[in-house]
Amino acid sequence: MNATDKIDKLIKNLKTTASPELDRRIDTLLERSKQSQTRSLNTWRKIMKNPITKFTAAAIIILAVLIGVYQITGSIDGSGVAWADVIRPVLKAVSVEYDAVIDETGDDPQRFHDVVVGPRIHRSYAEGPVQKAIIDTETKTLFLLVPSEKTAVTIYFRNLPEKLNPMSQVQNILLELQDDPGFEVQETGPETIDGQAAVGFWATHPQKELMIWADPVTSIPIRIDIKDVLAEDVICRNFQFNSQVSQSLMEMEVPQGFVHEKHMLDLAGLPEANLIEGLRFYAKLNDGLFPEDVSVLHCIQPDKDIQDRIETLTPHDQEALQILMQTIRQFLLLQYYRGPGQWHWIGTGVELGDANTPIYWYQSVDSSTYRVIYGDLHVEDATENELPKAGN
Amino acid sequence: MIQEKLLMMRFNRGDHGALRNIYALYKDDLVSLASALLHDKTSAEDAVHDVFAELISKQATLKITQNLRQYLLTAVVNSARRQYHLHIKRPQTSLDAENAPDIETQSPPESPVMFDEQQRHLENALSALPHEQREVILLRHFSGFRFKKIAQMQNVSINTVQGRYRYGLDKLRSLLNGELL
Repeated sequence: MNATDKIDKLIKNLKTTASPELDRRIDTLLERSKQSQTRSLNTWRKIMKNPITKFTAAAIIILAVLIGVYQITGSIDGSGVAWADVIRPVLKAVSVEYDAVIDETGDDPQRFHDVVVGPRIHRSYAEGPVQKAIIDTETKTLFLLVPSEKTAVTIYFRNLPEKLNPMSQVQNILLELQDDPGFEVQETGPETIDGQAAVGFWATHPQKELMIWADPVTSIPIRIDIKDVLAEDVICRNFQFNSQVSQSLMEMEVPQGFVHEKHMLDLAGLPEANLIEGLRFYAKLNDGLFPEDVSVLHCIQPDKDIQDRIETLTPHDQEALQILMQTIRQFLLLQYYRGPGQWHWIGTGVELGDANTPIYWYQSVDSSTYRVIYGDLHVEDATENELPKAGN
Repeated sequence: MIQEKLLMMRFNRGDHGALRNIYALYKDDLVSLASALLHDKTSAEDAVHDVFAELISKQATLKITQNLRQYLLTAVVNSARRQYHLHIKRPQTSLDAENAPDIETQSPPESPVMFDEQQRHLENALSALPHEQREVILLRHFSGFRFKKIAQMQNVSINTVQGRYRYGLDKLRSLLNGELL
């Protein structure tokens, strides 16, 4: 070994351990930042206190998370033998159970347990007002049980996408995406995950990323980290495939003594006028600026200023709150149900009243032209060639 | 590598917990580099602290797109450079052999910066280099950066960086000869 190589080795081996004092200082920084952090799911909790909006809000969140999870899970693909072994249980499963947590390391982790059998999902929550939710994608019904209010809620969805059977959706997409050139799977080798030996796979797609760990002996998935659902981490663990599931678990039965509310929720796009009023309302809350984006995350975790202002809404503002809810609903649905229509949000930072700057354009399913909404909320028709170039 | 990618994604999404994990994962690497650059553990930890303070303050808008470790090491080098100019800068040692510090008698920095004799010799020798040379040597050997990247960081030409590297390495060899080489 020559002198340069020796120096290289010596330098590579330099090791100075951070002192407990530095740990404490960084901890203090992080704690301070945590206290002032602007993002929080509390907004939804506040909205859910509102008797008019709370169940609609819950329904939308549940649906958005549900669809998000399955869309992303469905983006798995790969060609390696080991990977094929890992996804085989998913492809062959009739039912699956798992524990899931959203944002496990964050300030407000949300934990739930899912049992998925064919078109139905039973989701039980570790905490929060909703104890359990049963979603039947065949009958397009969501059932919520809220013991703290002795209330059961059934929400009937209109215009829910047809292809939503959770098990078959995952399985179909797995098969359909075999040749997707944008999809890559990298094996990460043996690791210890949650105290268990595992082999890892890093699966990426232009829109999604996930990490899946499987038992090196049985190839059964033991943990999946999903990225991009509500822009938070979702970790699924403790998978059980094809377990015996009691039929009663999926029954939407109202316990004795509970009030039973029934609602209808139309998932089709709202009338344009509603969207416009919602945008106006949001911009007014936001010092005259349109939102930075219309992602699910931004819709349910708006900036702290917006959260604070929502909190100040009084019962007299019910109409305003309804408008906000409708707008959020519209955006959530646009995120997940683009369907054959198209839309683009280009309103980041645009001021309310700016008549020259487009903020949003969309194409209805049955239309050959486009509608472009401007900063002053006037709307113009446009052909494809006339559409604004920027967009998300 | 995967862990790093996950952390980077979480950081970019504004996940509060990600920074805590990033610190836990890289703190010793960062303090090691800063200590070698500054030859003073207190200043080194200040440099690392400043990096995290900045990361926290900018997390909402900052998007890290490159290799996370390289990003952090670069940030620490920049922070250490500020520390050096603010608190530590002293007349540069001449490259003449007779002016070279006696690495046997050089007093060791505060414990536990030097956890063994070899490292103590090496850090003392590094401290005898002009800061720019020390930075190049450490960026090249500790961080694994290419000369092109180092040139961008130091805002000089590649030739200058390579010159600093050669001079620095020659001096290190001379200082460590008979001790570690």
